[in-house]
Amino acid sequence: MLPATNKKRETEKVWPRRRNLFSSRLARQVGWLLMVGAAWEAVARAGIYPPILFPRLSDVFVALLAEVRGGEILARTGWSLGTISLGVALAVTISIAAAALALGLRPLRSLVDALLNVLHPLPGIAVLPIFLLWFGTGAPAVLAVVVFSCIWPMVQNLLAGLESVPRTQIDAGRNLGLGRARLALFVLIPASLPYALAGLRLAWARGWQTAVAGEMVFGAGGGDGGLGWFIYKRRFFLEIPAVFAGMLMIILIGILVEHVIFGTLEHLTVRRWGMSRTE
Amino acid sequence: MGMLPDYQQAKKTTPLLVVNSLHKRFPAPGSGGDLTVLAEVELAVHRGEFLSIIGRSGCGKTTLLRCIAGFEKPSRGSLRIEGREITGPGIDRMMVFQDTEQLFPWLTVLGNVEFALQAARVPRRERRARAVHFLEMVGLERFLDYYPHQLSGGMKQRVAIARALSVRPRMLLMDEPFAALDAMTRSLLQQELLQLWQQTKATIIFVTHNIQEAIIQSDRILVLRPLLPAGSTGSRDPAFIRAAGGGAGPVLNPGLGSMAALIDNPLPRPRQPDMPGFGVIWRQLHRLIGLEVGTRAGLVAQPVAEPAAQPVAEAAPVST
Ligand SMILES: Nc1ncnc2c1ncn2[C@@H]1O[C@H](COP(=O)(O)OP(=O)(O)OP(=O)(O)O)[C@@H](O)[C@H]1O
Ligand SMILES: [Mg+2]
Repeated sequence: MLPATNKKRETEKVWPRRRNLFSSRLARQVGWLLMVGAAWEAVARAGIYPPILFPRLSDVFVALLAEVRGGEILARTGWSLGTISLGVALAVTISIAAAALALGLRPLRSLVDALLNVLHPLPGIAVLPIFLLWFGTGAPAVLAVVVFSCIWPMVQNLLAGLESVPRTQIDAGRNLGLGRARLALFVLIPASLPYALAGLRLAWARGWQTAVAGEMVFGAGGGDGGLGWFIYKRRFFLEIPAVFAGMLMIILIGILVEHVIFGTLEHLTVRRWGMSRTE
Repeated sequence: MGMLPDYQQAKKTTPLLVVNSLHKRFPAPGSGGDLTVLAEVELAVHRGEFLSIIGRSGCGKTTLLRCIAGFEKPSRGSLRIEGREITGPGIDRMMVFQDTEQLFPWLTVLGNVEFALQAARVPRRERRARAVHFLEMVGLERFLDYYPHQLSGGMKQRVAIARALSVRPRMLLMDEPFAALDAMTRSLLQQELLQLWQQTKATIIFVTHNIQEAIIQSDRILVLRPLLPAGSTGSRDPAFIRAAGGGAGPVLNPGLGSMAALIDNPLPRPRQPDMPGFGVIWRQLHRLIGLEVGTRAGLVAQPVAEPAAQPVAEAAPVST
């Protein structure tokens, strides 16, 4: 039998450069982005388009720095992150409860399925006018819409995950005498984690879309508001580099969350366990 | 050793497991009707016995094991363990499943065994030592921290065996546990299993396709046969029964029962394929399973007249 150390060395021999940042896929992508950025800068400097519509990339970065120094963009980012985190957390809680009920009580399963089929196709932003009436303008309505748009992909993935658990693993758990609660906690939940993580990713992405869109369309009250509101206000005053700076901020956070938070989460769990479905 | 197997003594007490007139039907996809998989299974398993179940693919071996494990409810008949009806799965009957997905992929090799011990309410401080002990027994002490996806198929199977043994079940139900292993590992594990069986006095029901494995290991061998499709009268026809060996003795449930035979294996242990008497049992099993050349896929019944083994109940076994 092959000792652990040998195995490791062998893998490294086959892909010796995978860990090397500069020959990786990431480096190639960064290279392309740099080229696109340079092209942008060149076109803007050529003066073909009015700078108010097509600012220089360098001005965008200058604006971003200024906004960071001024503090406004950070406050807005914090507000957005707070709304979305709270929204996703609420959505996850509700989804887990819904999935558990659907799993535990057979008639409820078809109720959840029916709601899923009817409401999943409805974009969160479409219910915002009604939610504004129900929850009042500003933060509460935006939060409600975020929760609404995050619930359905989450529920769908949780249910799909529970259905994907191999029967033998459930039987192995039942063989150990696990009751319903312990079976759910120790077998069903970890076994369906790949789906749950995929659902969480989707929910987070939809949360951003909905929050930003909602604030742009209906604004936010008082001094509150997130990045959507920030972009909307800057556009109103025609501070176009700052508008791009707001978008850049959303992109940066997206990358950070996707690769650092979700990436780490996956590496610690489903990838390590060989359960991840994507390479 | 050459003395009576332990279960021969145990026979005087009440059996551990009693299966009474067990029938199992499944809804047959597509046809709207049912498919009877098991019929008229009568079985008494004694403490410490090593019983093998053998039979062709699809004849219901796994189904019978799943009924005993409590995963499937009988359609008719009953299963009792120590007199109590089996109503569901329990840790007193540990199953080693036929497929390799039975380990929990989010737990390491050690974690999988420790989890079973936790479920068996073994105190926390004893768990690790006991888990390591059983993993050593199946030769996996160097792979404690591996996750199942990092193991080969045979190694996964060995973890499952260690996990099942570690909780010291009253009954070990093994569904072709060595099927995925190479011949060397297989015979090694066979010997280890026999040692464990003798040490722990466990009762083992062992499904296999391998006639030699069945003879080497077991006290008794249950031969199952596929049931004829519903509606076919073939073996129920009295003339067929007579032709099929009805003349050799009374025929029990002609064409209906799943049991082709339940034979004793009195060979002294340890057993080797070249020992006297081995070939007789081998040929008998071979014929009962319906592998004999010249029988059309076992559909032509063969009366059994070997003196070395006792056919099921008072019946002359008919392989359908
Ligand atoms: N859940 C089920 N629903 C319908 N039919 C089933 C079900 N489980 C088993 N069967 C049928 O029961 C029959 C016996 O299956 P079983 O798995 O017990 O066979 P087996 O003897 O273990 O075969 P093998 O040696 O190939 O493992 C098969 O015809 C199978 O299609
Ligand atoms: Mg089987």
